[in-house]
Amino acid sequence: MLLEVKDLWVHYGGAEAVRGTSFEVGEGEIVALVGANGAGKTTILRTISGVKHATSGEIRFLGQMIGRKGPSEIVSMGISHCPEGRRVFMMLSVKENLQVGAHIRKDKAEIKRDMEALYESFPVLRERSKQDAMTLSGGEQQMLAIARALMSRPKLLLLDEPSLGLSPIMVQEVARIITNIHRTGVSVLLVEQNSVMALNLADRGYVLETGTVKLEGAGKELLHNEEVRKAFLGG
Amino acid sequence: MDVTLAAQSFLNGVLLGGLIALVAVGFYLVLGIARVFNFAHGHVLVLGGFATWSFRENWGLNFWIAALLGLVIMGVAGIIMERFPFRRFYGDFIPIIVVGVALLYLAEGGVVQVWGPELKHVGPVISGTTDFWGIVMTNWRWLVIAVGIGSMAGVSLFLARTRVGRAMRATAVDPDTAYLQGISSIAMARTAMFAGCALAAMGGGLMAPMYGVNIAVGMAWMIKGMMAIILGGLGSWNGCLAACFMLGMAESYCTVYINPQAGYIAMFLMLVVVILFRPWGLFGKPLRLGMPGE
Repeated sequence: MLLEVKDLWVHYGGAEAVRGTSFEVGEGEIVALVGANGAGKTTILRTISGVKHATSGEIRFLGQMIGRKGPSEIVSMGISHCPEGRRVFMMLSVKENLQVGAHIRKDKAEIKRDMEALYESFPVLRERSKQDAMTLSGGEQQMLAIARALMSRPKLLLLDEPSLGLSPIMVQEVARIITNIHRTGVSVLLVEQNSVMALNLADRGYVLETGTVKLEGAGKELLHNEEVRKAFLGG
Repeated sequence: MDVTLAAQSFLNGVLLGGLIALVAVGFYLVLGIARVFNFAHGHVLVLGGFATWSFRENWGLNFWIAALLGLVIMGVAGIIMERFPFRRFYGDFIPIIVVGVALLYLAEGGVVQVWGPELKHVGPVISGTTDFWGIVMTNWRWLVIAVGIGSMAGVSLFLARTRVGRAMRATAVDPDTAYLQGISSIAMARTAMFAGCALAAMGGGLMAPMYGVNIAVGMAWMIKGMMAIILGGLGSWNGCLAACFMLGMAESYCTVYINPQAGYIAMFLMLVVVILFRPWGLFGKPLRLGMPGE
């Protein structure tokens, strides 16, 4: 297993945000975590990337316990987190955003080559490489945020609500990008409120409700599950 | 109108602007990254000046070694200030102000105990004057102008071009997301405190042979540096630099053409006008008082 999360409990302030969640991501998989707002999805991702620490439970990445490590170590091990709301560095240029994404790396020549490769996949970023990120549209910012996350050469990409606030066409574009990233051998843990998009893409999915896993199964299977349809997809 | 006097005042403005910038850079970096406003920052300059004076006049060291020692000592003092009083209050603006004021009084008492209240001059380092197209200035002042401009160019290049400089800017924009990229806000704050205090101490060392140093100038330079970041605004390093030189010019021209008090009044007037119409400064963005990550 690439990532194993076992009986994870996380508190935010005094409240339990995650209550005994367990799930796995295999090598080469796209796994979706779906569920309503407040189900604990973002907290789970922030705990995996080491920004937040769990109260109890285990997180293993490539067999190693990573629950007590901080983000710089976790990014170096190969987990990259593309946060909710894109969070590009507005006052930095597109190119600088990508360079900051490679902060933990020291191999300058390779960083340059990776940046070139990303410019090939996202031509709009090359066009705007010198502009401040605040001048980009929402969709372009999402591409930049994903590209920035790829600059650390992850084995596992954590994507938090990549479709949030985007037009339907842009949502399709993001789905295409995720498929392409997956083809290059990167595993993806996708958190979405747009369950249809996420479950369509995913090999497997988990449905979360108030911090616990309610259902799990193959992506397409969940998409056609009566309960899931009722709860999340509007009947 | 005397062209030479006007040109001389201009160069004096550059000199003052460079010295203000040596103080303001610390304010700019530390406020941007850690949301810390260090009221004792002007006293860091004074301590740098007195350290230089002691190493030079008491120990008889070479001036440049004395100034370098002052710079390193105050840089390390910056790291200690970041670690102990400030770090535990990150994100809490009022206690940070209180800590800053406490450090200011501590420095003030300490300086008066050790060095006394009177003005101390370091003996001349280089002598003579140079006449450049009719503008006559002491060689020391030419040198301070060059060092001021050189160090600001250095800071600009550092922020724009280096990996750590970029990481500092990313942290100032969004510490939480910078943390996700593996950048520690604490490490950035520590670097900013070191660099800011070292540069202010260097300013104190450079002033010692020219104006001399005493405890009273600490507050004056703290206020000038503070005015520069308010005038320029946070989030724009070039804006901060421009503000430093605007203030330097205002002080220089008003002092020459009106009187020394007018220099101070002009700087405050500029500040009041800017605050009335653009509270976030001429080139800045409204300040977001966020809590830095770990």
